Amino acid sequence: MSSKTLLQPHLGFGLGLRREHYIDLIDGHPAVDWLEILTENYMVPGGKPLYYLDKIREHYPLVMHGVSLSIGSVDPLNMDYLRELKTLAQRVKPKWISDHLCWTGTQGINLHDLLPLPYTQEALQHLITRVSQVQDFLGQRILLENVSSYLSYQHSTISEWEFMRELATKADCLILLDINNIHVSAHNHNFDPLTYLDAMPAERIQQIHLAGHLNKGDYSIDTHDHEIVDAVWSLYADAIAKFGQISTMIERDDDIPQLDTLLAELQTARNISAQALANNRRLQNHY
Amino acid sequence: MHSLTLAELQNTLQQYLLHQQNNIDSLTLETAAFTRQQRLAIYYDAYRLRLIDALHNDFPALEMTLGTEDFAQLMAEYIAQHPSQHPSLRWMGGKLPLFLRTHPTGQQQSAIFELAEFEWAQIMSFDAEDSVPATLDDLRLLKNTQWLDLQLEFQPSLQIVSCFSNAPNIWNAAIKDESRIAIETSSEEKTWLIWRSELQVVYRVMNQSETWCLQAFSNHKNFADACEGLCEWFPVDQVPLKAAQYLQQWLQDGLIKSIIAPPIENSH
Repeated sequence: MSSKTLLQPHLGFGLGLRREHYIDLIDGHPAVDWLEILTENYMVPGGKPLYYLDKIREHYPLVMHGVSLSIGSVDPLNMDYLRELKTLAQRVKPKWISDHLCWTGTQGINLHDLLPLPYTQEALQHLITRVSQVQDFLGQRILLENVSSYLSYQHSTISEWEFMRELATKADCLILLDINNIHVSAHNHNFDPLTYLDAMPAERIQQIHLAGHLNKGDYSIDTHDHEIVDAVWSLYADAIAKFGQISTMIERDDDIPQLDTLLAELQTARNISAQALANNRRLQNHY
Repeated sequence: MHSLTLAELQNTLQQYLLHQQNNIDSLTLETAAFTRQQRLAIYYDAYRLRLIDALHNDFPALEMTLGTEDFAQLMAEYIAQHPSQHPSLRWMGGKLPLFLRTHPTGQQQSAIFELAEFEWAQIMSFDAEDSVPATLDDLRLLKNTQWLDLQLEFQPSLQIVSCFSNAPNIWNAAIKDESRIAIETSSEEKTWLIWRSELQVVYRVMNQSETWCLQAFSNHKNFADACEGLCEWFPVDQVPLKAAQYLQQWLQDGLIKSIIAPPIENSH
């Protein structure tokens, strides 16, 4: 795969599609630029999920975000899953497809968790091969997202950010940069989140995730059930200042509020992004 | 642990998360504020909580009947015996009815596994494949000579559940957030028909003759076979009308996907 511009066009500011908001979205067409669906929720034969998905697709661009690709597992790629993914993509016509830099199980078991990988050359080679296989099968580049993690392996020989950069470059895939996950993992593993941003290849960052988390004092848990905290907003501003305009969305998976609340939070993202871009322009003009 | 391959590392961590087997303390780094044990415990606990939460969403009546703590304990046993092998949590509860049938809790009280069967049937119907139902007009188009051999294909959303208990009433109260209904068990088994009408899952009880007739058609029997079987419940001269009434009812319910009739014989 090669093209001059690696990235798809900028989509603006989006939300995760949740069933609590189906009717508001269909009836009111609120000002959301795009929506991200949880892929596995729509890998069903029929009924309400696909009915509402088709209705919403008439009004909003969609992207697909999965949790079960298990790109880092040593199990063979699950071809049944990939075929279902491709079939759903043919129906949804997403702007792009993403999943996570993780493994979710081995020996045929799915632990339904986004488990961190050891950042080793062995794992890197394994993932480069697998990402290439998936992209060849789907006929498009995929996005991989950095996960929140609570453990880091003694076996790792490079940092997560170096691993992500190497993988994206060598496997020719794109990056879904989760700002909240960087913040959570930085707290849990005691690293500077700006070091993570500095290592990212700007030309491969297609999307940004923002979300809330739970700070337990000594560590943080990625809960997606809170508002976005100031430190994450600040890191988001740093990311936009560094990488420029990037399609951004807010993930909320629990304690899901009224759509208006999320729209207000999305407006904050718009404002912060605009401010960071304006600051950049001022700096460029100054020099 | 530095020599572990990727496969060995994944197997080691998975065995820990599933069974707390393997001494894996040295697998992960730690900080003074956030110990190895705490780090591993987050994944160990999250695994169970996530799966129990999925089952909580799919089996609200079962949880209401058992109580939150007993439900969580029973589900933890289930998860230990039947770890997920599917990419989607949607299928996590598929083996629960059978698990409960053979579990002491279910054996003591059949309503427990009947509730699980009823709730799982609702889930299977909820997102079953879409199809356009046949109509009474399709039936009216049939010639007299086609009736005896006609067969039916039912909607993919059709589910049949038999209960000795009042499981459907318990389920109905649970989803409407009404107060808990006491379990009642009868010596007579009732059969419930569950299907999707438009987008809504609906259900109703069937009597014995309708149950037999519907199951006969489900097993690819034709109208003549159905009439023959219905003689067990009705006088012979009333049987064709009774079978036709069932067909009419099923068509009105939107249960039938297609009427499969033999080609019309050419008269010359």
